[in-house]
Amino acid sequence: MNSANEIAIWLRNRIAAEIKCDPDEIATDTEFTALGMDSLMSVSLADELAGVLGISLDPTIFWEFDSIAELTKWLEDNKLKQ
Amino acid sequence: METILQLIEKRLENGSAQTSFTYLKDGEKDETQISLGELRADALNLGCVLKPDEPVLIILPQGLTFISALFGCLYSAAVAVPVGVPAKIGRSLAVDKIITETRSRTIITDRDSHEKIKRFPGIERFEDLNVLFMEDFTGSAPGLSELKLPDIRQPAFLQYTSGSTGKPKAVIVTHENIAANSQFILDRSGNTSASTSVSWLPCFHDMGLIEGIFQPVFGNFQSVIMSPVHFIQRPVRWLKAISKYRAATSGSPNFGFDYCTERIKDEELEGIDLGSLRCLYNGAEPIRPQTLRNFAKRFEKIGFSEEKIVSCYGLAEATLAVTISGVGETPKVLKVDADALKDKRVRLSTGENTVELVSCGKPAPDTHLKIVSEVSLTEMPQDRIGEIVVSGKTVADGYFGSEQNSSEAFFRSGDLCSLRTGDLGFIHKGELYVTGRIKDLIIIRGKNHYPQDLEYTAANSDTSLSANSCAAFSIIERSAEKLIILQEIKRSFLKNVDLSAAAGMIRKAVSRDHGILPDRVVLLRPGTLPKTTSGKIRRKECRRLFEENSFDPLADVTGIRR
Repeated sequence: MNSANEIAIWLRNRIAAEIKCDPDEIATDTEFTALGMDSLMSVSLADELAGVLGISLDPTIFWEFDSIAELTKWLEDNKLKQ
Repeated sequence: METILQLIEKRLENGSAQTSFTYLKDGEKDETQISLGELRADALNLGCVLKPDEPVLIILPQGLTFISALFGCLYSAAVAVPVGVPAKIGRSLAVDKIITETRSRTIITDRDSHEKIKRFPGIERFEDLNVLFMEDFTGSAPGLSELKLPDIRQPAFLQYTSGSTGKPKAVIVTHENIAANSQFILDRSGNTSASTSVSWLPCFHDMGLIEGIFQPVFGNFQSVIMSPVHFIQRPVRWLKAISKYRAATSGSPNFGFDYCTERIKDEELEGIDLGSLRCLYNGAEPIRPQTLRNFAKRFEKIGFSEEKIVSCYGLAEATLAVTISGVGETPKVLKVDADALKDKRVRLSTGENTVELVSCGKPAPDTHLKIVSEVSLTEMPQDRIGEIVVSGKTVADGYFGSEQNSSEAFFRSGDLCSLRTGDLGFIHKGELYVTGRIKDLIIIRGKNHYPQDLEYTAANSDTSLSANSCAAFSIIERSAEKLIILQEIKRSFLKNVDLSAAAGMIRKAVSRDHGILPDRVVLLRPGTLPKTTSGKIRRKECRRLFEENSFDPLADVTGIRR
């Protein structure tokens, strides 16, 4: 994965699997908390995402950003270009 | 009885000290270690600049510096006030309240955490804070002669049990409490200086503090600590650490057991052997029999069995542990009649309509348990359920700075301290069975939440919501506590409120400030929540009506869809 778009797709699929809904129901600007993500889910997803991207990520990354769009934009600007 | 500091001094002097702390920085391989001697040196360096009796906030992440800071406070006879480093600013609201309440002017932290502390709302009001960086207190130990070690009756630390938005409540734990409770845990667990413990529990909470830090020092054995976040990310790390360090003892609230059973994949178990484990504590949350069976079955093939599980009951107000089941024996399970249970009666039954209850074991020989009527406080007959009252040296010294509050829960007759736990239960063949709660406390993933705090956050999250017309409570669903929030909409907003947006605001605010998400947010018309004549929310009645589906909601928003 090397673009914000690919990460967004991955995140939608993973979150959809966790909250048991259709990935299409998740808009990239929906707030994580409105999706039903709690602290437990967000720290474990941060770990998975770090693994998939092969980078290190703060476990609290999902609390710093509100939505998939915000998070993936930051990742693209700060992590993927390095 | 000796204080934990006298014990350390004696062991270091006669060369018998075995304790060391290992911190797994990445939850797996990257470890740092500190011996008891090094820990004491750091602690004395810090201790020299602290004043006796002064409350000192410790705002440090999980790790070795936290432990050094804690012992620094103890050595100087200051009162340690452990506070976690909040990940989100919203959750840090409590810090300025704690500073105000304790009148503390000293904070021990590190430079990383200080960047966060500076941004805490309300913190700028305190211009005269003395911020100490733990990085600056290392090196060889100054002489002990500078310090006067605390007396066993003196407070050692304040354990905050709540307080993000409501009034913070801190339990005063004395050196005598620590010594009495640590001795009890050690006697029951049978750990020796050859034991090793593994803990991922947060150091600033009673279970992580007493079990992960004080118990290894007290029992003169080695302790391996990891961060709760690393456990949550990959629960197999906990089992890996137990296996790698050949740990004899470890523990978790009930949710951690379920979390492992559900989350850990078969292929992750390769190379893990739990054969060294003798006691795996389950405490701080109601214990579910099915959880224990599932866990034992799931990890049988890597050397686990149900008799390694040790069930406990306790609370911060009684230092930590009140009762502990026997090591090496599967916790007893009692089948009782479900209807009788609702009537607060105990009737053993093998019929269909039964509930299984796990024994939490027996108290220490010098701790006394009583089951009393919550109204008259008179002792209940054998087969009746009542409030659990604990007496003995393990009962803490009351709540800090709130005399009135203390007198309700804590009471003294002569030299004996007693505590009304607010929990319901009964004693059968000398063992305690906990059946429920009188207090409206919500326990999710081992962490206590006061409904008042959650209600305050919810009701203030959107302008369409009525103040003082919110009820937060928990229900048991699939053996876990689920958070339910009932909230009334203001009359003036009834016609044009966006209900799903309002429910979303509640979910967001509760998640931000408390780290948990409501499983259901139910929005109601004004005046539908049952209240007392003085306008207080009747939470138990709310729960009853909710479970009977008796509300006619404007909206009912479920959390995770399954």
